[in-house]
Amino acid sequence: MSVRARRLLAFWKENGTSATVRLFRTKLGAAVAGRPVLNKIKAGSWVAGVSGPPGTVGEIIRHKFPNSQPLPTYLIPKPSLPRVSLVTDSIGSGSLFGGVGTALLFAAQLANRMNATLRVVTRTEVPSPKNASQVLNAYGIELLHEIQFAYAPIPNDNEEPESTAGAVAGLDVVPDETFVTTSWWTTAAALPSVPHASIIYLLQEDERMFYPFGEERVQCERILHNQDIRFVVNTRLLFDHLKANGMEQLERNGCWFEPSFPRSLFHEREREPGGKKRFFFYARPYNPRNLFHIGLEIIDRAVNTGILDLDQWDIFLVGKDIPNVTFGNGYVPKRCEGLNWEAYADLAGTIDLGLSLMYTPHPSYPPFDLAASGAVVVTNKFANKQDLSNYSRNIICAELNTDALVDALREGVALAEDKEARKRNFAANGLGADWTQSFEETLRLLTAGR
Amino acid sequence: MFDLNVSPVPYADPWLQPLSERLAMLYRRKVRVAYFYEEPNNSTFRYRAYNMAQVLNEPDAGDVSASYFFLSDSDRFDEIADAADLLVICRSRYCHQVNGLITKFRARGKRVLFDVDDLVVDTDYAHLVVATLGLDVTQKGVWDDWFAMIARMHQTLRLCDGAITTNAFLAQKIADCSGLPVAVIPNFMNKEQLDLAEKVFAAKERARFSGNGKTTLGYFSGSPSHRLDYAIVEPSLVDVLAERPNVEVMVVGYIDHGPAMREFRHRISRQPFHDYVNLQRLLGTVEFNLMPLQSNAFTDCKSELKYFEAASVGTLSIASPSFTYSRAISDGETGYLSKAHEWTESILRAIDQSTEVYASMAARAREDALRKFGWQHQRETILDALQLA
Repeated sequence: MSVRARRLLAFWKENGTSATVRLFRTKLGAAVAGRPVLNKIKAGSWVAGVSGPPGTVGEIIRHKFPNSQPLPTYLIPKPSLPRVSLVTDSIGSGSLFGGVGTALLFAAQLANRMNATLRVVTRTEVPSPKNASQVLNAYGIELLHEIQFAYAPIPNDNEEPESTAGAVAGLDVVPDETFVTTSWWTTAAALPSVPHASIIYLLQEDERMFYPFGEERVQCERILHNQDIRFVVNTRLLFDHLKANGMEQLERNGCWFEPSFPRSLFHEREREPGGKKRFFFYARPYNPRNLFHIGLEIIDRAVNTGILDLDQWDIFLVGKDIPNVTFGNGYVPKRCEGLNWEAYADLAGTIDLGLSLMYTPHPSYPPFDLAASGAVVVTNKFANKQDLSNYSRNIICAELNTDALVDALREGVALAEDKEARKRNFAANGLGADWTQSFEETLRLLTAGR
Repeated sequence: MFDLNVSPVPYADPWLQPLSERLAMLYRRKVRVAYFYEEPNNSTFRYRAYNMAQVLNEPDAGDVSASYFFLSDSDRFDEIADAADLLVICRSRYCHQVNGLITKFRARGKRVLFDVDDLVVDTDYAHLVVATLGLDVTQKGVWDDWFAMIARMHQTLRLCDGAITTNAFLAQKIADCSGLPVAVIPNFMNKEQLDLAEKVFAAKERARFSGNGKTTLGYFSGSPSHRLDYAIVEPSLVDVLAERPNVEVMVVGYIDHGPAMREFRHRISRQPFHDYVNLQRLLGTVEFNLMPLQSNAFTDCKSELKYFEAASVGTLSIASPSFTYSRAISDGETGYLSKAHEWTESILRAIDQSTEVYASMAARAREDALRKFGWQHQRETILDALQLA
């Protein structure tokens, strides 16, 4: 087998079929456009020591953890305005839901609070200024100063598609610059390259749970135990969980905020008169923590036992890479993929009942999106996530077993149909609606004494 | 696009005169200013030496005359130092001859000033300059070239009594690194440019600013070093081209489009470099002149020239809010400002407003550009900066 074939096989094993198809499409596009199709096979590249020539320990480790390789930086003189740099994988359309959007809002508000320039640094995709604009506009945030964008791609020596158009060779760093990192790997990349005290790690999940017990998890754990950087945690619930699970330093160098769901975006939409009720399932089969297949079983049980009467309910599967599935006696649900912000909020505003699972301590955003839009939603308990009624009494939290979740759906159907109770609960929601308020205390703590 | 009934003009570099003529120009009046540039060119030399001399040499404009000299004139430096009262070294790298020329003026008790139009005098910014220009930082030669160039500029600057530059931001940077007093003379348009600009604007006025039904967005890049600037606006060009079938793009210079633009290749035209006079004509044919800039200290030092050249021919600019552009352009009045994440909206806003306000905005922008950046209004500023007022 040739080196290229071995590399392709290894790429497929590591990244899966859909990534391999995307790779072929990219190569085909390059061929059509007359660009080089095959990357150089370098001695000492990632195949070194695996399927190619011998590689050093450093090369093999760099191949294993490419995302956490140090950001290339260089120092320039202090400008008249300070700067806040947000370091994230991508602000592409497919990445902007949930955490990345929150990170952008946070960094923008921090920049404004510091009278600083905001810079968005992306690592896997050329930054899209338009997407940044959409998020900031959707939440009514106006930057005080010009926004900057920089694409600092992760060094790539394997067969993955390279997109280096618009890439900077290194990131200019100014004295006293603040870096907002958004994952353990962007934090790991920043740590060797900028002063530790300048890093604010926006932590929106117990990222250790992304991995089985193994090297990635250990790498992640090491970053989470860093004592020099500051942590900003999305939700009190996650903050408490992390503190109770090894991150005692949060007491000293951490704070938390609760997310907001502005009424301009999340609100009940006009419904078709006489139409069916609408059931929403957050369907992401390739995000294991969303428990896609368990969710399918629960819905199927609810359909088969008449809890979800398909004469009265339409089912919407909302997410990504959703397989062609049927429920009950051949019912085909509606699949919604690749929705933009507005389309997603429009849909959420028409939902009566949702099921959204998250096998981590964070409540995740879809239950909040739905509750903020007037729907009832069922989610699962996990660790200290036992009761979310302080956010909304329309969020029902159930033990993570099929019976309990099916029972919760039964309860959810009843509540969704009880218009008065649902409305009363909605009116008493504890969900924030203003991101400025959400971040107020955090920003005060971060900028105190500057 | 505007179909202009204005023919291209025959062009030859007007500064290519023999030394005897340039010396004669210097001798013409009592107080004499010698401008020095390594060798003449269409950009910095034109703006910072040729244009200055043109203004000072205007008939009936007092007792000051000026001329320009080059490294190739080094055999006659003594004569120049005898004749001139003041030497202005424009953006020149330190070398034996440059030091020698400065020394000759100093030996005669005469002042020497340094004129520079870019942040190329402080090696602390060398890396930023190299990165902003998108140069290949893995090439050792890049570092040798740029550090040598900037250090040599700095050394020349340090030999001078003061500096002159194009805007207040750059003036502060020069003062910070040299400790010298710094005056500002903006870049401005000379007679040849404005003569043609007037014809172009008149043609557009006659046609009541009605084009051929297509709206053309122009990107006048100058050189490939604007690749990263262009990258700021390209995604929005794709959006606008997709949304508005009657929009076209004209690119002047060496910019490679990304793959997303290829879908619209039949609506993209390319133009080669033009001489600076006929460039005015080309600028006059597009509705909007796009001026995206990366946001940093190097680009904040850039001058207003892209704005005023477009405005002089009745073309509206859409620009990044750099230090200079945000002061030169009044958003919605004489052009448009666009933050990096707002280009799509800014371009669409400009297009949508154009039916109603294009003619009045274009007239306002031209008036503004001529008043601030026409050669006719620069004499006092120049004399002040030279301390000859």
